[in-house]
Amino acid sequence: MENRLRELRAVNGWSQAELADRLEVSRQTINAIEKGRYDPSLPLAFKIADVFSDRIENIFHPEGAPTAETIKS
Amino acid sequence: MSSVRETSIKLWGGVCPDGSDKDRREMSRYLRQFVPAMVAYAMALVVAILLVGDEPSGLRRLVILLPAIPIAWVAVVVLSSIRRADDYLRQLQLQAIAYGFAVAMVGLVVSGLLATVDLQYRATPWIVYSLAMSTWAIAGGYLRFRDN
Repeated sequence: MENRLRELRAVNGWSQAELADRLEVSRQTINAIEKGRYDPSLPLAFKIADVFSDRIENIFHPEGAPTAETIKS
Repeated sequence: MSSVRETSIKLWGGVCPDGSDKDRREMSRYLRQFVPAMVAYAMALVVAILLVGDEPSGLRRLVILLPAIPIAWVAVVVLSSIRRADDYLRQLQLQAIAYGFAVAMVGLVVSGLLATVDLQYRATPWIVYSLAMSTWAIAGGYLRFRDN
């Protein structure tokens, strides 16, 4: 899975530790998701979407697949 | 009571300075439980060895089992820490334990095979134990370090 976590985090001006606090996970978990080393569980993915007030499919998408935003444009 | 907890978080939580609040709270809680358990183990080991003496007999020999109690406490601390961890950290911890378990199993099979040809050493269980624990610690450290 690919994701826009780093990009969305930068837009909000949050550090990995700040985002980890909001999601109640460890900073290493955020780092692993951003590096694509770990795909979050469904509950965590929903939580991430909630924190960024966005839809899951706008944040996570299969590798190589067009993103929801690409399709729109 | 809360100031004791906050001081403890500052003290132990300093182990992961760039972590989230959850990381610091968890590290503090883990070390607050793990360190006393290990100290109790070390003390129980010394007391047991002193009490058993050079030539123990009868029920006195059972005193050597004294350190098993704090070791069970350590196991409870580690298991509850794994239960509290988030999905990803739990995955890393279980991976590290799996490496340690594999080393323990191979070590026990080797020692079992050697025992069938009368090659038994008193230190064998301790060697297997040390190798398995070291593997677990090194694997755990490496897996966590990799994500920093």
